[in-house]
Amino acid sequence: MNLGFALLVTFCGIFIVFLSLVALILLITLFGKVTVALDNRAVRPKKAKEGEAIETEELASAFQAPLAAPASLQNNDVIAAITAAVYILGEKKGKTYAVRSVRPAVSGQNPWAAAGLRNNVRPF
Amino acid sequence: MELLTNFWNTLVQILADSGYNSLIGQFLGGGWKNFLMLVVSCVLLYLAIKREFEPLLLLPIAFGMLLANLPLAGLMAQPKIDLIPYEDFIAQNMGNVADYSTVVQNGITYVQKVTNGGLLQYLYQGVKLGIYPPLIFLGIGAMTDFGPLIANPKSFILGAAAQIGIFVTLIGAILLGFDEAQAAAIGIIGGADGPTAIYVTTKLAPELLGSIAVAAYSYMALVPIIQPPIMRLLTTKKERSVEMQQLRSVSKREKILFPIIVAIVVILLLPETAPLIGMLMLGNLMRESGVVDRISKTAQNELMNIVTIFLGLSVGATTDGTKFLNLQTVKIIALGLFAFCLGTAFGVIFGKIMYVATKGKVNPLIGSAGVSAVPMAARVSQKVGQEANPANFLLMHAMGPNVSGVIGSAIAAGVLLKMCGA
Repeated sequence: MNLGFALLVTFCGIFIVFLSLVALILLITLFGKVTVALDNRAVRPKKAKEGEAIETEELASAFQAPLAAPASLQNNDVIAAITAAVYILGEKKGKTYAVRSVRPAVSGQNPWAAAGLRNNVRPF
Repeated sequence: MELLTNFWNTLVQILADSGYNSLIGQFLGGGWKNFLMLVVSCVLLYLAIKREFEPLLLLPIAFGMLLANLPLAGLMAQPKIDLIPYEDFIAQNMGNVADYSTVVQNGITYVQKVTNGGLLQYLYQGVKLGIYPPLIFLGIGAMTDFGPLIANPKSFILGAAAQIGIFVTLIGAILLGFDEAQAAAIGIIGGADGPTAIYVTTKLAPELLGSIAVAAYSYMALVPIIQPPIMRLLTTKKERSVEMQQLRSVSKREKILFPIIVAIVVILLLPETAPLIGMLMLGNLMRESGVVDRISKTAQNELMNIVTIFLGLSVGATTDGTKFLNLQTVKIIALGLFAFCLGTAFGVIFGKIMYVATKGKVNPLIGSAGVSAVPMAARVSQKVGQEANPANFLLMHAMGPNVSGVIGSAIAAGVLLKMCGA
């Protein structure tokens, strides 16, 4: 029973895992700041040059308000999935959206049928 | 009459050579272990199909277990070479030796008659040679969005904290009588990462592969049952109700450079992590670059599915009853649960430290997602958080520690391979 070796592996392992991930935190944080600074610099001259107001992407404090899930919408997984989908949509457009409310769609039509119809009749 | 006699004798011979005869005839001599494993495999199939416990892996593992425990099927038989004296072989084969090579030993010429191994023995080579787990990581990287982690790099700390369970379990395994390599392979179960567990076990303790794989994947499937009580025990309702600030958006440039930076930094520090981290980051780069959509989709779908089938089948086939059913397996299952619980606990504890350090801005529940059971652990954080505060949406915040846990467990695996390997 080599307990001394086990303790050595434990301490070395925990140290190396934390060291690696802390190094990654510092690098990714630094890189994030550089990227954001570069992106902001690219946006600001465009605003001054064209003289147009660029749509603000700051969230109003109202958007930070908690989401009120209606009592009828019991499925928390669905709300989480909707929030995630909205987040990804915003990410693709470079904007940040906040979900303010979720309510069930009231429709007599089967949603899959509706989606299929929309897909077939959209302009190309 | 002679025809009937031959017919009867042939039937008797077929039954005598069948698996039924072997299973029943050797029941008391050890065959009961194979029978019990057949029952266990059926239970696992029920859990995979009816209860949908990680079916993508549990189903092939369970069926591989079933196939391996059917007597005389020989699916895991090793290839062998029989040496038959040349004259005897000529007599048996009416002079035909064209397809066989010969060898001379002690002045006697022998014909080398090769018998191929079983199907699963050849599929198992991908596990034994450490090929399948890195390919699975390639697919995982292609499916993973590291955006939440890049937006909040402090999540890496929670991913690191959850790996403490691996190393503490290693101590427990040594105290229970396992050697260092076996203890390391058992401890890695706490990383809640199937491919990593299989990769480490194959390198350090291949004789324990069946037990460790079954334990690892079973606990990954039981994440929604194992984690919540630990999370509630270690946090207060006030802490669980914390709503976190929305994450910043992450640029495409950051997402492209992230896998390159991680691969360089981690692999330079620990070259043993190269197969796992390298493949994980390659898959992610393929996804984020946007210029290799075809191969990114192949990695996420066809390749992943093929390797999953081969990996699951061949891992399940290592669970032969005569090797699986023993006290060692019971210890491994107990230690695996211990590792998993510890990983969850340490993740939550570090989450609480971050809660205090940030003056209440971080919800400690996201710490439990530091075990790398993606995305199940993040969903559990979301669910437990919403029980305390229905308006709380922790899923995206929990994805950060969740995916950092994949990287953390790969780094932990590298340390174990370096320190406990031959």
